Amino acid sequence: MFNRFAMLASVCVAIPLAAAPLAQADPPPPPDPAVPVNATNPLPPEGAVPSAPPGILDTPDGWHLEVVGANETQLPVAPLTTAISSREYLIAGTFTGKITGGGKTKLTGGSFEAGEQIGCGIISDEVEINPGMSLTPGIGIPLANNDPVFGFGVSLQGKVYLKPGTVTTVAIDKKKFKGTSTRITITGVRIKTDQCAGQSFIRSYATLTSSTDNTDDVITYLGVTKAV
Amino acid sequence: MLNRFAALVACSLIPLGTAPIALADPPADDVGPPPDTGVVGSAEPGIVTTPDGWVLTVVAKDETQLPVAPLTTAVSSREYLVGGTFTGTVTGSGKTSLSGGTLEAGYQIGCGIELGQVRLIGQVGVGTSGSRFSGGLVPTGVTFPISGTIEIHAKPGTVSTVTVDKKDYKAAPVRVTLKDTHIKVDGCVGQSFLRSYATLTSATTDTDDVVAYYGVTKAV
Repeated sequence: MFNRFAMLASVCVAIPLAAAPLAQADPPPPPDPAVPVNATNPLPPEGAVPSAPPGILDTPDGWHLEVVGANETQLPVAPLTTAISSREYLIAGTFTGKITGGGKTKLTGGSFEAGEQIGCGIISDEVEINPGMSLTPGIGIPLANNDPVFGFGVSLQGKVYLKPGTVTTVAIDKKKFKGTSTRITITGVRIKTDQCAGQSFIRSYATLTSSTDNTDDVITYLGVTKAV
Repeated sequence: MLNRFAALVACSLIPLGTAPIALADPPADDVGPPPDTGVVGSAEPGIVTTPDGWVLTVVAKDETQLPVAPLTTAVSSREYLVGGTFTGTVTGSGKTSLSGGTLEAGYQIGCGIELGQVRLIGQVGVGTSGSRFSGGLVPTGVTFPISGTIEIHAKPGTVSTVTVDKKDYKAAPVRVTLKDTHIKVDGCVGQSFLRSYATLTSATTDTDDVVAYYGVTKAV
């Protein structure tokens, strides 16, 4: 009797255990240890792009301004629409602005802006689809000895409106700073452009504005252009 | 042998017997499946370590995206009732002193095909044809042409971003909770897509660090 209970218990316990693994999906494989995840840029490494030479400006009053881009990623990802004219990129980058040297004027900080520029070769605007139908009844003159006539027609017209390409500038962040160095890091932000029928291009930019009481000095860094 | 069969039957009865406990008591008159609550899963949090040592995390939970009837009868209008809790935290021990920042939360709506206008164009007329006598002065027939055209003006789809809230915070953690916010898109024929987003900007006096979270895309 005891044996039977034991068997019942063991079988009953075993059945759910055996069935459970079927219900679960395969656990995701552990990340490949050979590819270390960069903590300051955890985006997929295949989207990494090189950075351009820094933007440098020596101001008339003796300051040396430098804007540097580093650790940049521009990874094309699937857009949020089914339209093939939409593009989306996953963006990361570290943009640093530094003011060095011994200028004659007193610095009062400034502002630093970082973002992306997206260019498109051809803008696909409206599309028209125009189905039409016509009926042409008629009578002959004189009415006697003439049969009435009847005509019928269908038509389909298509129109595609294209416009020359444009460049869209997307500012991701604008920072007002007080000291002589400033930094913006961007991780995992998605940038999109729509209605682009041709090739699209993307590059990063960072603009450093260094202020004194009476002057502003502006220098812009432009990243390497990536064509998609 | 019969006993063994009985044991097997008992085993198969146990799950059946326990199942009703998990369910709520069904109401007396069965009203069908429970209403859609619109609960959606959240994506992986956005995590980054800044160059000066802070660890920024932006995470979402309890997200809901429920399609509801729009305020128009047009099939091209969509409306969603959305909610969720978006939290940004700054941990670790960085070299710089933090001065707050912002947490922006909102939604992105994508549309496959946008419909601009539909034009219904009709045309009627009277015409004559032929001539039997001198100079076409006397027609041999009269026609009554009728034509109709439908012009469909469509555009390739676009993605629109709706910022629901932008919170300036002084010290992390920062949280934005949304409930029963209406998000709408008009003029969308074809499939529409909805996705939440949250962008955490952690500031010090001279630096900004931006990390973004994007939710799971829901297609309707």
